[in-house]
Amino acid sequence: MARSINRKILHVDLARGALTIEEPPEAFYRTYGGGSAMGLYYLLRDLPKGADALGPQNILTFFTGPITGLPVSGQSRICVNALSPLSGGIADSQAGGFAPAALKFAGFDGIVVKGAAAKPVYLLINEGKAELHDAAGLWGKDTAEVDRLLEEKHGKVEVMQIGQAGEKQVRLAAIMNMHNRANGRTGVGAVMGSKLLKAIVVQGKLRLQAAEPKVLARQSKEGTANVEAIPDMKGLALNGTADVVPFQHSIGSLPSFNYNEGTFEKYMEISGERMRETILKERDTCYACTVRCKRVVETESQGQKVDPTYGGPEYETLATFGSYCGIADLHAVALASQLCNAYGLDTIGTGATVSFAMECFEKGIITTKETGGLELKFGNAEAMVEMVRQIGERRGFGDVLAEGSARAAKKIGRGAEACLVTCKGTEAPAHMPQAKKSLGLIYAVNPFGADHQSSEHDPLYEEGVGEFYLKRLAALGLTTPQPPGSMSDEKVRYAWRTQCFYSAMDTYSLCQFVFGPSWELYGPVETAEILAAGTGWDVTVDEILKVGERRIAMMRAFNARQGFTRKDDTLPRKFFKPLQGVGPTAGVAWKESDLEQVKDVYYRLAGCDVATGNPTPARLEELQLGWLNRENRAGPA
Amino acid sequence: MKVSVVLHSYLRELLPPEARGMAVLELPEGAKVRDVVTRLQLPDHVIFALNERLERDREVALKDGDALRFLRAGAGG
Repeated sequence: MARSINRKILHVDLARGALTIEEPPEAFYRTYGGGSAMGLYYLLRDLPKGADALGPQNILTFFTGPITGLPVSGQSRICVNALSPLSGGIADSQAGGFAPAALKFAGFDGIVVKGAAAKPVYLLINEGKAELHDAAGLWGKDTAEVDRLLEEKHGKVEVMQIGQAGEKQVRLAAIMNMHNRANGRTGVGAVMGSKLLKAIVVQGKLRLQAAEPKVLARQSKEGTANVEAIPDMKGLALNGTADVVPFQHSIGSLPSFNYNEGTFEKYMEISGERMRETILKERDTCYACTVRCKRVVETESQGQKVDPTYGGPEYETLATFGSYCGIADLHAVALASQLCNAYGLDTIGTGATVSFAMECFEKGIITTKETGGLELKFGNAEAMVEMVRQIGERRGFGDVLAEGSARAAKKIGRGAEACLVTCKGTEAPAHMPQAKKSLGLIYAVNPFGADHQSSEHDPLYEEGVGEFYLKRLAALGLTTPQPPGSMSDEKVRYAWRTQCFYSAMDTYSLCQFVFGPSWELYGPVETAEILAAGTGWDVTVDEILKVGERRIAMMRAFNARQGFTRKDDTLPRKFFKPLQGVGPTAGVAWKESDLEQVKDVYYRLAGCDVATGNPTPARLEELQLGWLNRENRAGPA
Repeated sequence: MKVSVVLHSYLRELLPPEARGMAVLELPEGAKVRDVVTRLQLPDHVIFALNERLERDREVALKDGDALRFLRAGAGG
């Protein structure tokens, strides 16, 4: 048996206060991998039809992967799944930090939470034991304060918690760990809040063992060398994810003024380079990771200290609160990032929702009457920060925006929907499908909405790309880089194959900056070797792709049950209109007919019915998911 | 002729820290992007923007006053 897994899953029934432990066979782990697919297994099996995302019937799952906790970079990740209160489809969100590894050291591979508590509680897990505690003293407090109080009471612990935003069921709410790492996307914090589950607290010293420790140690050493040797890793380590700002601007992929433009004149003001030479205090890391891509900043803005304890902004945060909102004030963006971490808010969803409101204000769709006197114009950093506070506290106009931009647009009316940048009700991240064409397809078809971490981006498979990347992509059968800016059948195949690989990383719960198809610390071949060395399973690249494909099929099957069809796989209306501004994407638009055509190609590759976009029964059988074809959802035989 | 150059990301370290990744190069008439890559000892795979347009051809002849930015391709975030 693989000694890198505990073979223990904790089931929590909050309504009854009952805690039980399931010990699935190892084959269950090999089939579903961990992470997202394991969470989906329980959601597909047990979620009642017609469940309310913020009601007690929703199921909230937390799953690590089969090598989480081993001494190699990029393994300390946790995936959270539920029925999404933003989309009504699958919720899916990953985070790093130390909590994922700590959960394994505490004796569990995953947690399945059902029901809702009668009063606020937190779950304490310690070396195979678990109990529920009263969380009344933690309710209403900032995330850093909650972490402090829990450490004061229990000693050294790792905490996954909701902030005030989750308590108030803000649909943009995140689940935070270290109060600076977030399972941010798709509203999982609101689901946790609806269950009155304030926090999951883990501690323990159980140790896991790799099947081939020497192979793992060699790969670990090579990984450290790769940080210097691979240009993208060197840039990531040096400047964090914000290293990409100048490139994004250069190709017209830096969303500005609520996705109306693809370049931002003052892009350097929100770049990783500027952050490093001004407010960066130090770099931080996740458990056993050599890359150290996390930022820790210290500064002041609008009379408030930006405290290093809340970490620092990622690229997405810099873009959504920066260029999306037309704001070039790095200090204000750092403050917005801190507020999101303190309230427990998704920075992408929150920043994009504020920029949506700014466009509504600029167009006169809303006025100071709605905003309580706030001049919510592009470039107004004070108004942006105030709106983050209002969303986190569900106060004033923030209460409308706390529903997410798609619901807010419906409530506002008067044409506000034209200002949306949402796919399946989820705000689009900061990579533009007008520049990265295959990403447009992925934004449309991805089951949990627009996501930039669900496939490899176009520039890595375009003519002129370096041999290093092509050598790695060849392991996925991708050997024909395409013309820059193109969208072809081969690009669709690239999107699909790399989506399967990325999907597997969210299943094995591996970091997609460390393990990936091309530019990452480890390529596909090394990823297979590390998974095999960790688990003792004879993992191949083909098996990785199959595991990834299985999870995609599970997500699509989940959405199909929720009533999603091909028509839901679309892009915001705005993306079909020419971009404004200057630069390489000015005047560029997606055509609806082009999107429908590439969707046809995609569905065939993915084994989906072209008419509905849903997985065919035959493909589900092929993926060992035949049990999903049966109405009773009895689970696999 | 004079050409301004900005090095982004880890490439900045190829210039002294006080340069903050920026330099103005004196080049002979007819110099090409390739000559700048060689002179600054930039890696082979580096990508660049010439006068704010992403270009791929390193054989492009430069003109007095041109602005070059060297970048790394980006994904993730």
